[in-house]
Amino acid sequence: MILSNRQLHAALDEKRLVIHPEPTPRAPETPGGHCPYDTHSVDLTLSEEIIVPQDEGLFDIDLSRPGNIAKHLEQHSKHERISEDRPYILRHGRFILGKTRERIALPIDPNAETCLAARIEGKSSRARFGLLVHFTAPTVHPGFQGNLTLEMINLGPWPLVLKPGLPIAQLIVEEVRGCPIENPSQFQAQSTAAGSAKRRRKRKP
Amino acid sequence: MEKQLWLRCVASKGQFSSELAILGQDYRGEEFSLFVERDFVEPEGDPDLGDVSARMRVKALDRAGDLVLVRLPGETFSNGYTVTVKQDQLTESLDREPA
Repeated sequence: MILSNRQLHAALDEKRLVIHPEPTPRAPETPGGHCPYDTHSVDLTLSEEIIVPQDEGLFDIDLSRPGNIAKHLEQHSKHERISEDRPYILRHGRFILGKTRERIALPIDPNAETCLAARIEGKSSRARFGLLVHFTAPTVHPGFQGNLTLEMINLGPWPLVLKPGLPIAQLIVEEVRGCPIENPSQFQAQSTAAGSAKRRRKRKP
Repeated sequence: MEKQLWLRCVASKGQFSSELAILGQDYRGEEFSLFVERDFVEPEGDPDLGDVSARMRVKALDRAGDLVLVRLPGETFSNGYTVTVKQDQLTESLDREPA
């Protein structure tokens, strides 16, 4: 079940959903005024940090054995801090990473019958210019806490000006029935460093 | 206060300023890496200057002999939130929950 704007406000009040800083106002202060809450979503904004991956042709990434790839990604990325006066110009076809200014938390209460999950989605007003803000990883799992990473591509023909605080995505929050159990059976299909030791031993002849 | 479980790892600067690049090993010595919010990591030194020893907060999901299946505070590039490690790679403390 997707939460309506009223239910989003209630979840924020009950701390079942944490968005910091909390988007305001909860309702337009003047007729037609700005409000980040739509009927069943809340807008999230772009932070000051932009990561620009650099294609220097230095290495290939073996997705089956990535090893210490996190460090390589950091070393081959350019870090940009944008501001109102120094925006980032995202040109056609370029891929960058951004983050939401808001920190999200979806706490799991083991005594509760439900918890919350969420999905981050683009905004139609941005999509019309060809801007993707995520293209493969929209799910925010129960128990998550942190800022949301945005995988951004400009598929449109025009350079797009990105400034901090720009409403860039919307969060849709859903109720998960039953409290999730974090147990090894969830991870049995994983084949690399992740997965159950018990399961690995069973596979041996 | 709740007991916290920590996994030994190596930390260095992340892509975003709020995160660190983490290099760890599973019980077979195979390397895995991921980005983790700084709140979940205690580095022994300044990771912005280079590789430093560190410990990362994890949660034990299952145990078998000296092996422990732990849930990590982020998803590894090896595709998963969990990894099997040896008991001696872990330490416990009474530290606070991350903010």
